[in-house]
Amino acid sequence: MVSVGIFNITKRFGDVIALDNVSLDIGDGELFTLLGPSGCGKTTLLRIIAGLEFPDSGKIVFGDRDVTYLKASRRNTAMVFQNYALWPHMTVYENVAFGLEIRKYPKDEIRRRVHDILRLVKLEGMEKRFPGQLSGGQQQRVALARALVVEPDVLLLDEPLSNLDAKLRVEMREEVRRIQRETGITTIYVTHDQEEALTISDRIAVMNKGRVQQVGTPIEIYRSPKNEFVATFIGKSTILRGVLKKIVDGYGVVDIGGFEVLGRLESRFRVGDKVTVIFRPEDCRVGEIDGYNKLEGIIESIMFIGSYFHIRLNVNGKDILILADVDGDFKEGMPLKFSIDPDEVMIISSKD
Amino acid sequence: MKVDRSLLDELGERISRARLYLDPVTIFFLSFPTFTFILFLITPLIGMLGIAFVYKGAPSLEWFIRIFTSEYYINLQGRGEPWYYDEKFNMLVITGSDYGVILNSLIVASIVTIVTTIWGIILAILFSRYSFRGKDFLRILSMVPLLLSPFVNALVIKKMFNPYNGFINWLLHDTLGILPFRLYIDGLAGIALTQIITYYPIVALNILSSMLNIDSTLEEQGVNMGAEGFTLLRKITIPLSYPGIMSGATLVFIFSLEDLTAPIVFHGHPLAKKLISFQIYTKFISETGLRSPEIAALAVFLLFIALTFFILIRNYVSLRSYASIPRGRMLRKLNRLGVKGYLVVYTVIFPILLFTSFPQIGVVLLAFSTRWVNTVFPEGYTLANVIEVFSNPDVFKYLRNSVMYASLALLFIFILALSAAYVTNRLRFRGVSSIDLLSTSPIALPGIVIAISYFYFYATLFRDTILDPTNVLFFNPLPVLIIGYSIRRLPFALRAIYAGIQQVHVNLEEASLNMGAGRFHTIKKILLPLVSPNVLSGLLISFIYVVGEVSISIIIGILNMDYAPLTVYMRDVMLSAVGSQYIAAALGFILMSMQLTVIIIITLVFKQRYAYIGI
Repeated sequence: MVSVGIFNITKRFGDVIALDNVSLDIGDGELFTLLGPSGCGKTTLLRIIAGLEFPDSGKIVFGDRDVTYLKASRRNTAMVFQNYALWPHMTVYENVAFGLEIRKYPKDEIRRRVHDILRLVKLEGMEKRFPGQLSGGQQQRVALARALVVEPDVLLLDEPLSNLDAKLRVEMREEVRRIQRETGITTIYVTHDQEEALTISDRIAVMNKGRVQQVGTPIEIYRSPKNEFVATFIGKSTILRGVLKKIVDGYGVVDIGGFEVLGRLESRFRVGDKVTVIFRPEDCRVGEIDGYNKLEGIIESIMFIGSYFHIRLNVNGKDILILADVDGDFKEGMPLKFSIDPDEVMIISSKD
Repeated sequence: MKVDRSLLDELGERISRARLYLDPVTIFFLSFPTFTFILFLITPLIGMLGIAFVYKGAPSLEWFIRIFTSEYYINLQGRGEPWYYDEKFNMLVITGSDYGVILNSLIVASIVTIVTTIWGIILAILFSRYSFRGKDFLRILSMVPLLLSPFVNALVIKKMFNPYNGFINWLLHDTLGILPFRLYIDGLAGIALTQIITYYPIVALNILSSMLNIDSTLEEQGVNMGAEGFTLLRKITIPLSYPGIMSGATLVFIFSLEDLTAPIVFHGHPLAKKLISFQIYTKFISETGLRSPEIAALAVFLLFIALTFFILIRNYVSLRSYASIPRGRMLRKLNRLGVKGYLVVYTVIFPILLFTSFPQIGVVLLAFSTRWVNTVFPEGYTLANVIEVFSNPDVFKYLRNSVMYASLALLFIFILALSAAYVTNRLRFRGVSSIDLLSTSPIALPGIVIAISYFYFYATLFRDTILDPTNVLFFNPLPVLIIGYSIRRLPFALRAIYAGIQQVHVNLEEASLNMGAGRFHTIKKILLPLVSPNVLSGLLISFIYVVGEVSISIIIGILNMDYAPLTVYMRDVMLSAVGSQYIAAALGFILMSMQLTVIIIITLVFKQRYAYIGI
């Protein structure tokens, strides 16, 4: 198990820049997630770490070993592919044993290890089945077992749960988390599913258009998105643009046009700067509550999302999304008062 | 100098970058086909250019000018009536007119292409869009002409149209009285007819596979917009099938131009001799050992036409591969044939299909007849001909030689096809596409041109060795034939293996590399087991077409009769009445039986589709 250093990796495919000067530092034993929309470069980065692609420039380091140009077969990483890539002509046992046979382990040792790992992923008794005879979740576990059994330095998971149905996905991601904790293998996890990333990761790198937008713990990423992309990609947010009118003690008042919002300043600003205001629906409280940021709008649409309503309000011509309890009595066209805690309102630069 | 330097640097960087993705196995896979094609395909062809474009030791167009200005080769007026009615014998004689060697070839090829394409479209629509009783039977019947029986099938067609005791005249004139006169088809018309019957399944299959691959929702959308019946066909179905139509038509056009078997069988009629392929062939055998620039010029011209069409069609088809996203493709709902439809199918289409399968049926009859000369049907039946193939060492040697060459060629074809299919599927470098182009091109390169270029190539580079075809005493054609066969019949195996590799997701190999296995181990343990049905089917198809190969066999393989392959014997029978047509037919029967066995193995054991090749 090692730490993984990624230094200034750039990769082009023809005219397309897949990765643009990406640097990351992944700790030993960490479960690190690359999160971003499709085409953001996250899978390319994972394949570069695995040695299945080579960067145009930059460096990949495992521990203190430079592996940038090392062949895939010499890296001792283990990858779980999005489509599992289980060899259809081999049984579960043969699939899992493959890596050990390549490493020339004695037969007994191979049998013992395969048995142990299949127990870890809860697939005992399935040794003689072929991949085609397994369910999606079971195939997923075989792929995981095949990767884990070789005790890789780094475990690479490429959207491993995206082919499973919603319920199984939740089950499996807890499973992945448990196994990662038990084995302590440095793990790099690629996903486009923000909920998945938030629930299982130690740290997350949010990527877009080949660049890292923000690196942080799930809470940091959620609570303090560094820019508009991160704020909109992770969770739902209301985004408003305005001009900074006043600065008081790290807080600022922003003129949105017709109303004002008080919020936390995320960086240094001067009065008159153009800024972006971001807050989350769940931080808006319905009703007349004392404090700052008391606003009123007309209900445009109501969406039932399970335990809450998502209500879209028109506040002086601006769209604002709030969360409301289902016991309230709401109708489209009705006026609604609400307030936002200034500590939950982020003011960031409009340039990003 | 500065510019050169940066160019060199860029090239150097490209190479070092490419090397990251290479290993000994992929380097071999890249270089083996490359060297093979450069040495055994490009060099011989270029060598032939060197002969054709030189006059009195200097570069010149002299030989081409001679050809194009000679009335023998191009005659715009045309000589002779294409057909006439002979009152004395109450006979309609169809032979075609003589427009000179080059125009004759182009006219025959065009007629063959147009007729086979129209007929192919009709069959493809019928088989892909309609359901009716007896459909499977008709489909199988339409494939019968694909059964290889070089020379002998043309001989049977000639017999069928014999004005006195041919089957067609017996049936339509003597017995049924449908025809008010006897029909006599010979010369260019006989060749065109033979080629139409032999080649239409190639067009039909290409179009059929195009039509079956059209996503049914595209047509349903058309119906939804109000297009129906013929409009739907004209506006949606046929345009979407253009890639299949074009590649089928191109192949047939080239096959017709290069065909040697029909002209050799019909050569008794003077017009049948006036075709490019036959001219190259007869001039070549009458001047063996000499380097004839006129032959080379004709061959270069033929090569030029074939290559132009091949490259045009490849670009066209690749530009227009209307690949729809196959997401859980729905089964197409087929139209039921109505009463009128059944009437058309069983009074028009079925008799024509039956007629086109007569040559193969005739070959079988001929193989088992005691005598079949002046009668409509054989006079008696016997097993003697087939037995003689195996018991007479003078005949058996041809069969044995052919099977030996084909077996040895398979090893070469396997390595060549696997290498080319692997690199074109898996490596993404510039230049890989030229391997793809080269390895598929033999399907469209005229066999006679390759054969003659080989003759010059070995006679020049291997002078006075056992590989020198002009070395009358010691020439051993075995290596020359095996290499030539391997290259000519590579596309069959290549296509099957390519399709197999395409279906194996690259992740399966990457997972193995990621697990620490090297490339060789990965190919051996992961890829080959997964594509083995494709490999075996492809090799079996190549095997059959090697055994049935004509051009290289009758130009190179004939030079030492101890080593001659099976088609040489067949040619001898057709050309000079040496040997017996019954035994030639017996050989044809054996070849067709082998092919049928292969088809059955492929479909039943390997569960693959036996597909004739397209571009």
